[in-house]
Amino acid sequence: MTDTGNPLLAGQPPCVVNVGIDLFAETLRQQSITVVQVLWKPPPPQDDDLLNLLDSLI
Amino acid sequence: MTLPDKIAAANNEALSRFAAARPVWVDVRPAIDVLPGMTRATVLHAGPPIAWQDMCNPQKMGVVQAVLHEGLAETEAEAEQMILQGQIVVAPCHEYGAVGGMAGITSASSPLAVVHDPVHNRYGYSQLFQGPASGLLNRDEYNNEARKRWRWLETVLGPVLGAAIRSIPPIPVKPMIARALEMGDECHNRNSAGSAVILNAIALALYDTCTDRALLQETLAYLKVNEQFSLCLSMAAGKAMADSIKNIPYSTVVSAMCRNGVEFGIKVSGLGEQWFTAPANRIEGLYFSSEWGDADAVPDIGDSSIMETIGLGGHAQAAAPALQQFVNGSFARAVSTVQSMQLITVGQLMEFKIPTMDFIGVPAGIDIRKVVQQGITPVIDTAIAHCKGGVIGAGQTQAPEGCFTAALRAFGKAYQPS
Repeated sequence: MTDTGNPLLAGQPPCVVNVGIDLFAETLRQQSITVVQVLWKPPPPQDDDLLNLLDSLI
Repeated sequence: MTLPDKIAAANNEALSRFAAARPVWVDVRPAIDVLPGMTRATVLHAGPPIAWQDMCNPQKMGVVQAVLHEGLAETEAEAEQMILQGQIVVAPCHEYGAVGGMAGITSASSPLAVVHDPVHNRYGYSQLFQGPASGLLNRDEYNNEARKRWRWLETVLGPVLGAAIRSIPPIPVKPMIARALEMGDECHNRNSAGSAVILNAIALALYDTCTDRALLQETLAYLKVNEQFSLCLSMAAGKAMADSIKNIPYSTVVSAMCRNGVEFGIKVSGLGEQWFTAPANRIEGLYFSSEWGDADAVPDIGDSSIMETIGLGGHAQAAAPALQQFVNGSFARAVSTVQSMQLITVGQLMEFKIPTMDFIGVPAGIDIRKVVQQGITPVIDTAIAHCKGGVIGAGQTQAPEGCFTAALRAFGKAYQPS
């Protein structure tokens, strides 16, 4: 591997953790890079009425 | 008892009814003979209620074809007039105790698998699959082929299967599902194992009761190629189980989940027969041929999500790693999906174990409170329908959040002290 000067990439092949959109992970996998994919999506906007209702039901 | 305590007790009751149910396959009969309220002029469809003119194309087309098939009209134009004038009752399968895959078109003559749960005295009915009919993108050709297959189901498969099933003790459906999970099915998109188990269970009875060798040959040929056949029985059993949890006061557990290609609809045990709907999502998946793409596909459609309603399909994805090929996924992703479903359900159904996850029970009893709290909606494994008719692929999708938030608000109004 080319020495980039970045200690995180020096010597060892990178291992990537990708959060969210899995297209990024897939693109890296196609380049034989190990990727751990974390399924995540942004939480929906908060609805205070609904959260208050939820508090009373749980 | 506080309100949350009452809800918890009601939800545990719902899960225990799922566990106590003993659905058995007892018969195959025409819809007109078995569905309460069915008439010659009724056509049932998959998903929540929808006006005919608002349906997606394959469902709209299917209703017209059913009217012609039943001999109620001579031409498509006449059939459409009758539908628009209200001479034909168009209603959801779910409201007649039945479920229908994909467009779910069920008319008076449609042969239905009949499943009975004697524990809760509930019946569930499911149409038989017409078999693969994709690749016929000429509308008239597709309709002719579909109606030819309907006729064959009515005149050959239904009577032959019915006679065989009535000649033997009822076939328990839950053990078939449990065995299929051990053999690599998740019992929604993959039913290869379950169908083999069923074929084994009925082969001798078919041989004994069908003396016409040509009809026996046709029936066995259908069962050989239709690897999804056991889904009809699982769906009918799922409907009987889901109906057994209807109307438990205070329960926030989902008692029905279905789609009509336009909207996704749910019912909630403690809220009776009220539907809560939101626009159906598109499906992430693989097309069976490179000639098809997203532009050809109808959004999520069919009553088969009754399987997720009782904890199978997307909820048991890790049991069927082979399916991950449809979504470019991995076993880790399947495990993660099951774990997500654990966060939104009441508990595990121990009769249905996932062998690849140290034999945990499938996560069952979708709790609308947890769905809203976690921001996670049920994952649905499903087939993909072409906008001109036919099945063209398979994959997975998620229930839209909107129906759960609407249901939770309605639950608050119904049960919160004012």
